[in-house]
Amino acid sequence: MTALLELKDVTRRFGGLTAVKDVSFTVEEGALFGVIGPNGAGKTTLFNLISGLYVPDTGSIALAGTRVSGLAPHCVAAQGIARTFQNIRLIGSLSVLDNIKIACHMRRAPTLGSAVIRSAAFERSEADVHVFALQLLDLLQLGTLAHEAAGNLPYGSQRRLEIARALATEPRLLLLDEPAAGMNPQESLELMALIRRLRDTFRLTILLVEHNMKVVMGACERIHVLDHGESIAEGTPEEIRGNATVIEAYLGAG
Amino acid sequence: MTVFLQQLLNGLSLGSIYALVALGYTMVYGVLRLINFAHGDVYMLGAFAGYYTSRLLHGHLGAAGGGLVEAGIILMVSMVACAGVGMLIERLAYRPVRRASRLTILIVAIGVSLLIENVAQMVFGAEPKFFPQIIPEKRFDWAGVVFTNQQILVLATAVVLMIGLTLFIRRTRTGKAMRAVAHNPDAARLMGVNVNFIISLTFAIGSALAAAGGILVSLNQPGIDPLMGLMTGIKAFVAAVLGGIGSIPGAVLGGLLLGMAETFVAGYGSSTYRDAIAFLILIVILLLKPAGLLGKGQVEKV
Amino acid sequence: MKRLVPILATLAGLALLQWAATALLLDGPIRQGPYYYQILLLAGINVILAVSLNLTNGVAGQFSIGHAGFFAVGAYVAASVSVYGGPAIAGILPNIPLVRDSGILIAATSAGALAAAIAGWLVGMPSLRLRGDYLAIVTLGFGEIIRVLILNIDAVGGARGFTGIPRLANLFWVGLGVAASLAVVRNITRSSHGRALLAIRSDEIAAQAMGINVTRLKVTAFVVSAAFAGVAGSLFAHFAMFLHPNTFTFVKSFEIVIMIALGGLGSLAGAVLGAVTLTVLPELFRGFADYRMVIYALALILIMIYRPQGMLGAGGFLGRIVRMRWKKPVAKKGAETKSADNIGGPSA
Ligand SMILES: Nc1ncnc2c1ncn2[C@@H]1O[C@H](COP(=O)(O)OP(=O)(O)OP(=O)(O)O)[C@@H](O)[C@H]1O
Ligand SMILES: [Mg+2]
Repeated sequence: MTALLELKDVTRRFGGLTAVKDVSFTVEEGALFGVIGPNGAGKTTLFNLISGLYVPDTGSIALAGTRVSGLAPHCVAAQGIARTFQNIRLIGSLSVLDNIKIACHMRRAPTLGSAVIRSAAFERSEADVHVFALQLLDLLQLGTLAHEAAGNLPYGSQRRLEIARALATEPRLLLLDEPAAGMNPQESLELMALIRRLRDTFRLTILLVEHNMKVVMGACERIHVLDHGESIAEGTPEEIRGNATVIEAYLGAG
Repeated sequence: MTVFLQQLLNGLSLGSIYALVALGYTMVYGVLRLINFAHGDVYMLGAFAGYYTSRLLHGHLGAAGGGLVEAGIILMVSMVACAGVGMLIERLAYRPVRRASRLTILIVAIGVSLLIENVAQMVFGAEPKFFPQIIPEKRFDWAGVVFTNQQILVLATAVVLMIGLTLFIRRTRTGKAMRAVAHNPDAARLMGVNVNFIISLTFAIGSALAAAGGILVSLNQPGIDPLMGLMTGIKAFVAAVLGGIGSIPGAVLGGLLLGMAETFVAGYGSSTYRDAIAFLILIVILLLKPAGLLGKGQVEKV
Repeated sequence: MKRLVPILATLAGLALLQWAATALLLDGPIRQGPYYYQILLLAGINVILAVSLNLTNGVAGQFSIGHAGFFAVGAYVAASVSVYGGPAIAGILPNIPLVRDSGILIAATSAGALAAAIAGWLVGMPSLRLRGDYLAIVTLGFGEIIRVLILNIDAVGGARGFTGIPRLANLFWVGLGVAASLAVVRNITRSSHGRALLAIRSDEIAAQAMGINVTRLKVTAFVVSAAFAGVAGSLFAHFAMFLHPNTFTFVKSFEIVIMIALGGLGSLAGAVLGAVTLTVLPELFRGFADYRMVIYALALILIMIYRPQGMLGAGGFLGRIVRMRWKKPVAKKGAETKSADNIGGPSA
């Protein structure tokens, strides 16, 4: 196993608030790695830092040895990092299929010139993208909804669509920000099974933020715990379950 | 050195006008995140309100107080009238689209500006009008630096208004409510602030300041016309961006810097480039420090 | 080969129309033709302007209000090419009037489009990185700067206006410009790039996270849009035979904005409809000339408040009819699943 994602002393402040403070950890290639912590612990901020939407004040983030911190978000995506958003950010007025196709632009777009003259290469690539997008939708059990407007989808399907869209960028590392939020326990378990399947099918490395302890403990092989922006523990689910500091943080928070 | 001081003085008096107009942009942007395109036109309306008031008054007051009384009355009338216009614009045009997309709001703002300019052309006529000389010009020579009583009046009035605004925002309850709305309108509403009232008031104050700018300019450069707000409006906006849009000291600083930049370019270089300097500054600031000199770079929450 | 058929058909159709127009003496080398013929050409030029602006303002959601600036760059550069370079170009072409005129117009239009595209790049690069409102102001300011510059260039007539431009544009060339702008903008819109532009319009952050190079794509759209404004400028110059800086004020920019807002932002058919409406209506109501801008402005505000989608935008009045006729009915499955499958939860 080699390290795919490496964070070194990453810090990010917003005014007086330090949302992420000196966080370091390593995610092995192929891992299903959990990040947990009470509300406001800095989990989403961490994802924003990894995906390039925020730049760390200090510290560095590297993917497979290549530094990605400081790159523009679309360059980070090009390096192979994709994400979903905790507050779903689909394009509600477009169809489910088009939402996926948008994410195919980075890797599969024909040139603008070929689009203008509708060259054979353009038609071929459009057809390829169409097939690829439909396959992804089938995998995420959204095939029947392909032509529905994304905004009309039920909540759970929108969450799955977010995952499908992230996969359409053909990433090596997938960041899932609370993919099971708002789901009942049964749905959450199904989603976790799906996520594991996706990891195996696409040989992904997955970083997962989740509030539901049961879900994280059941799904992840390794867990990193944040509280008030600081790392307070890391280990296997068993280790975390028994960790006094973690229990303290959660009890203190809620 | 004398030339330098002279330019500095001229720049300050031009810059204080930009600053007054820039304040309105920045205040409205603060509470609504909207560039009020019509703001430059309110400045124009201020000048015209002053023009018509002075025609009504002229001869009735004589030269009481060296024209200062008349100038004061004109300033008051025009500021009050424009405060009303500003509130009206907000109520009729901006409030219905407050929750619409940014693009929609922007187009409405452009429409309002166009409407005011063209109605003004119909009502006032397109040809320039000449603002009467209310305060007879007196020149002072101070070690080679020439300045007029009007320049001093412009500077003094602008400074008084800006200090007044700062005190209002920092010290009064309403001013604090205004800052609360700028910070987070939803939270402010929950805290019991009447957000609609605050937004209305913001437009009123911003418009009154623009009107003051219009009057002060007309005292110096008497030619006024319905399109005079266009360039000044754009430049004041540049001043607001330069200082950091949303920041009140920023608007003042930006206005003064822009005014000085313009007079120095016109003085030492060529006056044809004078109008271009604002855009040059805008492009440079947007590239190097989009948040402006005193603005805080806001990170969009994801 | 399949793709050549519509192109050839368009060319043939336009040539036929042009032949008819010439035969009916609507058009000729010196005369400008009757009034309604001129209105037709003007409408065509406005369609090019509206369709191209719609790519940036409507599709990409980047609000430019300086389109008249690019229109002016195209017009003046193209006119300069044909006025100062015309003889040289004619010299290397066979001495057949049709070939000579076409050659000069093509060269002039290409130069105008290129110059406008470069201007678009120069303006777009710094300003498109930033939020939309800044772009609006920068483009407005840029448009005015261009005008002031032109006023000070003596070789193009300055404040006197640019005279002596040959009349080379006619129904054929304007029609070709319209067809080209429609085809290019439509093909871009309905492509991977078009979808990416839509993504930028609705959510830049999500678009970036999906790997879309937001700035580059915006600038590309802006440059294409400016280039077509340049084409429109060249056609205008070689139709009007006279250019004056006052034609290219911000009022012209606003007019184009109103055309696309009226038709429905982002809708190609809407842009065409808006452009034609705004060219023809004022001619029908000449008496209202003084109120024209007032009415435009009021219309703009009212449209945005009561029908922001315009005449042909999604959910717009005409749009709904068009959709009813042409769109396959979609099963109402979505509505049913929604209630059955809705698990709620916050979607902050
Ligand atoms: N752009 C920003 N500007 C200012 N503060 C921010 C910004 N982004 C995040 N924060 C702050 O950083 C802290 C961490 O937020 P973050 O969203 O990362 O928490 P989280 O662990 O994802 O919480 P949750 O479980 O509620 O999603 C919070 O206090 C938040 O208000
Ligand atoms: Mg979060």
